[in-house]
Amino acid sequence: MTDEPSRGGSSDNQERPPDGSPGPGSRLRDQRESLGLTLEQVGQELRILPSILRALEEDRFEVLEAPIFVRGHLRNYARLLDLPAEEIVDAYNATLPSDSQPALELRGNAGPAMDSGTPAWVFTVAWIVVLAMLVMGGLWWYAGPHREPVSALDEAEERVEPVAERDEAVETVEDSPLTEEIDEDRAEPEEIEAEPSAVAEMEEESPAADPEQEPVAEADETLPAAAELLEPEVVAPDEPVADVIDEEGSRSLTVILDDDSWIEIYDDRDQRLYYGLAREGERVEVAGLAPISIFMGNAPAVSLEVDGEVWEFGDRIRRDNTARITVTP
Amino acid sequence: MFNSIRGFFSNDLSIDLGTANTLIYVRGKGIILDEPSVVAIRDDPSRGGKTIEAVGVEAKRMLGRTPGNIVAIRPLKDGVIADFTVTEKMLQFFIRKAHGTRYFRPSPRVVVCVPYGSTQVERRAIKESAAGAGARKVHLIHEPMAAAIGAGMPVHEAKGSMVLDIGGGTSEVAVISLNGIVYAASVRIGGDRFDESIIHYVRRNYGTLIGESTAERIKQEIGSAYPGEEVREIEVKGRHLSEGVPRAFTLNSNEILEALQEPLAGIVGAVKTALEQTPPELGSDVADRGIVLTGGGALLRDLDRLLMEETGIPVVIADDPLTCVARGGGRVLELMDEHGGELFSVE
Repeated sequence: MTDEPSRGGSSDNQERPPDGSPGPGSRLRDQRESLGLTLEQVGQELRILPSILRALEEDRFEVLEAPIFVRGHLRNYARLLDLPAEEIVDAYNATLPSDSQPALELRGNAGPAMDSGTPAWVFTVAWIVVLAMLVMGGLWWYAGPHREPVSALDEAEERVEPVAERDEAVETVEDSPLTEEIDEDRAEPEEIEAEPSAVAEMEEESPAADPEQEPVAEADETLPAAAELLEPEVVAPDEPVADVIDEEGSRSLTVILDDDSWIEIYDDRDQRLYYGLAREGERVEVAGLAPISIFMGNAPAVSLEVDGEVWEFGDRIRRDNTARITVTP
Repeated sequence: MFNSIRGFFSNDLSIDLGTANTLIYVRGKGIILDEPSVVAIRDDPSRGGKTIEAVGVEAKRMLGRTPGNIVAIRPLKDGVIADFTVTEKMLQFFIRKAHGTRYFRPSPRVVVCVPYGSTQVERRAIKESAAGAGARKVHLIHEPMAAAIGAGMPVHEAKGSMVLDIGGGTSEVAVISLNGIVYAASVRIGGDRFDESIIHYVRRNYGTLIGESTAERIKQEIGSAYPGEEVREIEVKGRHLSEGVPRAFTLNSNEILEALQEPLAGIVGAVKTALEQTPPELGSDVADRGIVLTGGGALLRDLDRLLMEETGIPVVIADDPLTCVARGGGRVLELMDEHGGELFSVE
């Protein structure tokens, strides 16, 4: 019926409290005997088996397994014997091994057990992390690389760094004579910084400024400011143009300017041959494979020669003084 | 995704959404809210219709004492939702209150206990209203299971445990073994029925009308389920039906015992039926260890004695019987975390 024989003896000694503070069992037995009741009579009254009552009197509480049953029966028993029920239950609670105390607290709702649920410190840490991220985000926005190049950090490398930063061409840029030339000859650092990629690409393609390599043609990202700076160096001198003409399908263009004008010239593969602002009196000479398309502003002030012959385009000038011309092969 | 972030800042809750009281248990903190399931609603057309005037203790004080434009209602009846919208508002209020003043609207995982006898529709309503109140995940578990776990019964063992949970609206009796319900029954008799019986008794025998709050006070102070040696008395006031004026009179515990006979017989009948339906092996386990009483009804004097005499089986009252269901729900949340899955939960 119960499994008292199997469980009874094993933990008997462990459960028994130390001498001097007896468990509630002996107190119950003494009171029962003083009232002249037998276990059977009490069992009849409480509807409990006398064997379970005996186990309670001998402090063998494990026969009832869960503390809830032990406490309940002790309470009922104490009430029957006119003993203070809570004292008896407290005496039983004191015999419980300490490792069962947290479970008891949970049942008795005695206090918070902070080991479960989300611990309070997590909230603090989470707030700190969120704030830190906000601050870092703010700093990045205020002084991030998209606002100012890294060069601002280092005066010495001011002119080289932006190029390196953008284009993974640190070594070539630093050694390159062209960059230095630019620096020495004319350049305001701001302008270079504004267009680092264009410079870098030029660098890579034409480290020795070899005219036959058509350096300008390779610079696809060039913007007006950079192109203007580079123009004297990268635009090929007269001799190479002659060489280019010999090639099949290649045309040589000379643009002569009576006034300032902006000019874009693309070859057959949409590669830029020239892109930028040309000054009054300048001659822009380029060569490339036809069809070459030219787009220019202030077209009336521009005259064009193709392979040494004047190319008329007066009828192509639009009302806003721009002109789009295509030089066919 | 935002819900899960808010969930991180929310505590898991176990809610005992009872007819009489709503209790909220927070993991690691214990019972943090215990308030009557009462909402006072003010009907104020000039301020955009109905507004919530008070919830919980404050609203209960208004029960039966409201002017025309305020109505204090109990949105749950017989353990299930009678007024969906008001229940949702009440839950929202309680969940927020349970979280204290936080900058986030809480989005906790919630276990809500439902009566065993509730229908699919009633369970759905409870689930929806908890979700509507901001819960990010709602698990429903049967009240008797939660009560047994909360009382500390060894439900996981291959041994029969019988629990009788007497709430405000329903009483649930269940035999549990191996984490499952072997037999359970729910009768719509609870603390409210006790109050009603007292009101009827006083009306019939004294020709006097008393309110719900007075009836509850009588029950708590002198109510008993079994004749005792000591006879206690209480003085109450009610409106005399024929004279129409308030009148004071004295009631004693034997009268209340008589008044409570009918609902008590219903509960005893449910327990006897459960014992009849329990398989013999489990029945003998129950006979050895006894029936465990939980819920507010367990506080009725000598109810354990009545059940013991009627069934011949020992009856023990759980520690802190009022909070067993909520604590059991909290324990289920922990078990769900430990073992994963939808342990104990019902659809």
